[in-house]
Amino acid sequence: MFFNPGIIALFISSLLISGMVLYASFYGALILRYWDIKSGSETQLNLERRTYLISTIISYACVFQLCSFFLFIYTADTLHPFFTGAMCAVGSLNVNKWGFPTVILKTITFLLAGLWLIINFTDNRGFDYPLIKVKYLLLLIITPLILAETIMQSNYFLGLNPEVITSCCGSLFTADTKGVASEIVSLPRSVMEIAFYGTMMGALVLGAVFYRTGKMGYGFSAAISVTFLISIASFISFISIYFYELPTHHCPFCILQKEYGYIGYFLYLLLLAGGLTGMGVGLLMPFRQMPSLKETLPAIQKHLTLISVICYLSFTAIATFQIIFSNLKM
Amino acid sequence: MIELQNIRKVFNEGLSSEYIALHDLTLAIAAHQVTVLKGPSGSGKTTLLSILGCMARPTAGRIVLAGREITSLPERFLTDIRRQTFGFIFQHYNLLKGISVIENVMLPAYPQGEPFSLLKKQAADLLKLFNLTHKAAAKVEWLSGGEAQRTAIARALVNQPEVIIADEPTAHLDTRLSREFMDIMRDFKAQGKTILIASHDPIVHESEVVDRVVQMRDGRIIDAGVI
Repeated sequence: MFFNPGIIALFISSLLISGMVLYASFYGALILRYWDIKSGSETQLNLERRTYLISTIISYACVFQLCSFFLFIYTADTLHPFFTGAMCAVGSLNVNKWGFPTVILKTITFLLAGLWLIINFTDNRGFDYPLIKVKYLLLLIITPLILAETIMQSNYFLGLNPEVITSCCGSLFTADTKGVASEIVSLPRSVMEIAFYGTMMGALVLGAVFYRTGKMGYGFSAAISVTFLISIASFISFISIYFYELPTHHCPFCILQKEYGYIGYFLYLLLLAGGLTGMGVGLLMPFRQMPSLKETLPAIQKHLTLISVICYLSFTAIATFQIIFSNLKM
Repeated sequence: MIELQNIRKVFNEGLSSEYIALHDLTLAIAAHQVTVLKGPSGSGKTTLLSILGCMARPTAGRIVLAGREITSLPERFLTDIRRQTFGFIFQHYNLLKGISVIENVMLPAYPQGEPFSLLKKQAADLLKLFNLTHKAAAKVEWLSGGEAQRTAIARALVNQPEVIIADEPTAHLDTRLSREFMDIMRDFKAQGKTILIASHDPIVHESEVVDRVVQMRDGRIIDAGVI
């Protein structure tokens, strides 16, 4: 284990977040079990008062969770000089078996925490706690994942051994090895370009349709989710090489480094924020007819759609700009 | 119509100092009438008024205001109802020292976001109604008891509430000012406002303006009066 400020901050924040969501989940379970808005019982009124505290606690926990995703990647990147063979976060994450599963779990909890914040924001706009059961059900799904993430992250940090010779991104994100990363790299470039620009165009058109008419919300949300995955794959497959100006370098982590102006953080933020808000639109679709949300929900969904479209458009614009004006010509 | 359903209020619940201020009160208060809550100190009148006016939440029970249940409302919705539906006249007036009479009257209307000039005109009209125009710029600490009381009433009216809640409004007034207060309540009643007063002052509950006297003791209603 290293005594690095990032590691210490992540350790403490994960423990705090876990404690907060565990405490909140206890009351969340009580709310799911006993909530009855029609009742004037002491239990019900107590739950109504308690939900303010619990919602606030979870909101903070979710915001911390969003920040911890980027801090984890940044920490993994800053640790790479300590490991022989590592050139970026990939090398640090490869030091033991917990690195990459932690990143994947952190991405999932990032999205779920963001969705929880969207549900909570919407619930607070209704006078009769319209989504209270949905948001506490989602909390009960998030909590075990956050606890698992805390354990995996702890195992990862505790298992960091500077004696380990790790593999660099060049050996992982190449067509010559086996695994998901190499399969993505091996995909034909033309297919990936068509998939990226096709799905992106489809998602943006559906976003415009939903923004203007309020129709095709599920379609837009599904398109955004698919585009999210394809964008990540496309970044590894053909976008990244224009940032590195090296046709064989496909690493999705090197772009987080200073040499590239930390542009990777911004690109991933755009992708995650766009994906999250787009998925949020679909998540809210079933509640559009709820009496207390009928007036406010369409406006919330429109805002989410706008954010999602702007994020994805910006991502596409930056990637396309780099492809056109990069010194690498292919 | 304001309907109270099994309202219970407990302070310091679960502690050795636990105190039950209201015991399962059920009461229907008619609109456009003057209702007085009468009872000795500690009978729960102020607690009940606070709950009725959405300034406190009950421990159990519900309140239905004009057909809408309001005790379950999240705070942001309750604030709007409190601001738009109720006008409060406090026992000690609770005027803010250091600012002028007109500023005190305007204060509850600031969050409504109306243009300042319009707000100032409304406040000035209210001060005129209560013969306080000449005191508009004066600091409230310079006011006499009667003037302070009328300023408090003007402030309660600035948001044009449907319901006026007054907690022991005559406790610090002499007989003449107390009767003057009830005359003002008569005018409000004539305008169709619903008035709730907590008082054990005979000038209040024996006034002909009053439609109903609800007697309370030890957090219970001992006589709901005649509607």
